[in-house]
Amino acid sequence: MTKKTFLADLHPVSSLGYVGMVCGLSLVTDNPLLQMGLFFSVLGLAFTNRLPIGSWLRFGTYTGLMVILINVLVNYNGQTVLCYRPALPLLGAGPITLEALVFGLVMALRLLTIMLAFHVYSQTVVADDLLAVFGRGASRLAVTIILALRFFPIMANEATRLWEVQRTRGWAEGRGFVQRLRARWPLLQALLVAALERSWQVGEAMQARGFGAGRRSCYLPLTVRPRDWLWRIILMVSLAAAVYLGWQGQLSYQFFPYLGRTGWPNPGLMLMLLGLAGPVLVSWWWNRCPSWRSKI
Amino acid sequence: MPILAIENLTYCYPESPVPALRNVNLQVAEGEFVVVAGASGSGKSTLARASAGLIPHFYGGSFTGRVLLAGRDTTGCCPAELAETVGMVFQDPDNQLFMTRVENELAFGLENINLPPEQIRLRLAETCFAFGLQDLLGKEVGHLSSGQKQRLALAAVCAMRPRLLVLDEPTAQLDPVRAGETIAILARLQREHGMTIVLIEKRWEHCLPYAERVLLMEGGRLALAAPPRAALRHMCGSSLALVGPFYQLFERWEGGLNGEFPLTVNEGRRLLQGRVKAPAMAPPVPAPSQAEKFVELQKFWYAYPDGTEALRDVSLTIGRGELVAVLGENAAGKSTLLRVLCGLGLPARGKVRLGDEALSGPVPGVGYLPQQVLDYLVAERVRDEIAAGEWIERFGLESFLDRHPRDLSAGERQRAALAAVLSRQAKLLLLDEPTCGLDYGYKTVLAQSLRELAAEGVTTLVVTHDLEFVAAAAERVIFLSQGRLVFDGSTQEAFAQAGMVTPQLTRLFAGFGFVVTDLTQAMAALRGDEVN
Repeated sequence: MTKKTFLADLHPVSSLGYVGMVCGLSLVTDNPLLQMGLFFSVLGLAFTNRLPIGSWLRFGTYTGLMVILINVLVNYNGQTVLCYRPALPLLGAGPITLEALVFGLVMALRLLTIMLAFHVYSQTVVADDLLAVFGRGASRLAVTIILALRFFPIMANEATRLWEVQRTRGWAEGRGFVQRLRARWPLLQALLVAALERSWQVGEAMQARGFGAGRRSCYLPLTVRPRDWLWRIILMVSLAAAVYLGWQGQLSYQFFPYLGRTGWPNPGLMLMLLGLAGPVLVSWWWNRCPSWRSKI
Repeated sequence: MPILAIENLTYCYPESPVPALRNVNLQVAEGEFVVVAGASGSGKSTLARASAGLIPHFYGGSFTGRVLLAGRDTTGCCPAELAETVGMVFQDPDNQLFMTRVENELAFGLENINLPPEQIRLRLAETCFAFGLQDLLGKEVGHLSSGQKQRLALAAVCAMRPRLLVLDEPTAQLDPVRAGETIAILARLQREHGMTIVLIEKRWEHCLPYAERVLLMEGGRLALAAPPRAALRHMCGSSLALVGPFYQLFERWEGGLNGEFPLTVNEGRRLLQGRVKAPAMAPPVPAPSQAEKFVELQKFWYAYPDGTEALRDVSLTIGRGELVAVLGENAAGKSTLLRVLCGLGLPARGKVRLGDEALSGPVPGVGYLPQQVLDYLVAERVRDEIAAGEWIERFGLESFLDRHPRDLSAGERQRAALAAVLSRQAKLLLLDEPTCGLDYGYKTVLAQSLRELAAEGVTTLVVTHDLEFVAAAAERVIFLSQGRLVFDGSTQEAFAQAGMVTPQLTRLFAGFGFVVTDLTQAMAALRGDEVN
């Protein structure tokens, strides 16, 4: 769903650049400070752009807690023992270490950062923009992705309708996997036939609208504005700081056997965190000062 | 040179031994407005697809004869290459809108024909202006109403400025007001922009004021191509199943009009001027008494998961054996009301009772036919869906029994679904747009069947935009608007109070101070008998 927000007003390449940078850095760094910086940068963007993340936050919190819990229970590395947990089936008894807890936290943050970055991207960039960005090189692939995204909710809606209508005819789901599968089989068949029929009709309508006639042009209402350049400069600063940190070996972090140092205060690290705060500050200022919008 | 020329066209779909088109010859001149009529399965949609060059390319099958579009043989070029000459609008708007955003949807076809971006911008600006889409431009297609989607589909095709526009029942999913708006847009495109229009329409009589020629399809043959009045004369003489009660009145009236047929209600009033005797008017019939309460909604509120309120404070009681029509604009909450009554929607507030029990989910004895009838028909053969043979005969399904429901035409599917739901011996029937795709003959069969079932004690709620059907079948009308119940009374009262949303016959006689709802009453009014 697109909202009139700062992120939605950016060129899709700018948004894609940010998501790419956040996900890439999150994957290459183990540094807890950087992971926190990345996570709060995306979370801050979601808040300043007033994106609906309530349901995501609930799901993300459960997932993150699960990652931490599994690490704490199965990872016996680390020398700083916090306590000993009672014996569990299959796992037996074992220690709970500070190092395993911090490792779990960083892994959870990494997972949440990547998930949230894609969530923010999907909430702000319309699938059609893919065609505008990649139209010249891979238009058929872009159209396929757009169609999949456009028709998935329609198919899901169709499935719900079919299930509901058949319930009114006395259709019952049954108990157990085999019975359920048997009960659902005719409905799945009907759904599959409906999907095939729809794909046929869509293909027909696309041909009637000239798709496949040959070379196609690209209507590009997407313009690169000063805000995009500002955004890209901030991203470049962050990337430059990341390269500097990588050269200094500060991107990696020692968890075991004892927790290492985060490298703070390090000029590269400070620049990096400042760079990650930049998008949030710009987005916040965009909301605070409407007159500034037309200037950038 | 005609824009469309069809020469000796005979076409069979793959694996079908029966030709869908048989030796069709037709020429359509540039700038003409042609309406195509015919019973369901008569070959109208096939003719449209052949005219747009989609047959045989997209469907295969055996194809003999020629279709020339602006002098170009369609078999020699793919449909996409013809997109600048011919545009096609289909029945279901969801299957012809591909992009996420309205602006990109409008640009899609223009990009396909490789128009430079600056020309696309200009075309978008003028198309938005012409079709009133400015406010929708930044919206997502999935968030539009069905009327807006159909308008967008039409605009997206027209943005390509095709010389010939072929439309296959574009108003099938619209309420009468939106349908009228769509037809008026087509008339403007033809009159002011010289676009050639070939329009397939079930409610074809509503297009007659704009049409220059009417084509009648029968069993795959082009049975008639004539100006509107001549076509009406022919159809009234041969097959009344295709002609609505408005025209049947002028055909049947013994007073005689020398074969004159009006094309609009206003023309009809002028024709009848001075020939109508003032009848003794009976008072409007009150709503039928409710001896035994069967369905009850008390201060009922229903909201979708996203918080949109579909029904607001609806209180309603329906007696056993009542036949009630539910009217209202698109998205008024009509279909939601049916879903609630078959146990698919629980109240946010209020109560719903069926018989003596509060409704908490689907219950046996309720027959629900949704608007999308293929959600109902999931068996592999029509035969497996219908419980009693009597309904097969009534709805003329004998020759389709061993076919898959999806292989049938829209009208045939509708008949199969109706036969299936009516044969279930339900105590409560909930029918959503049951006349969609039916010709007048089968509408009469349906009205008669529902009245018989009502006499046996079956309670029926029919959601419909078909006002002629309401007049013929229903004894009570409820009118919903924006989720609220705004009218509840007899059909006679409903049409006496409503100014705009009434059948053609009612509007015809409103000019003489009578309230008539169906053909029998109209004939009585013409003879000067008491109208009741």
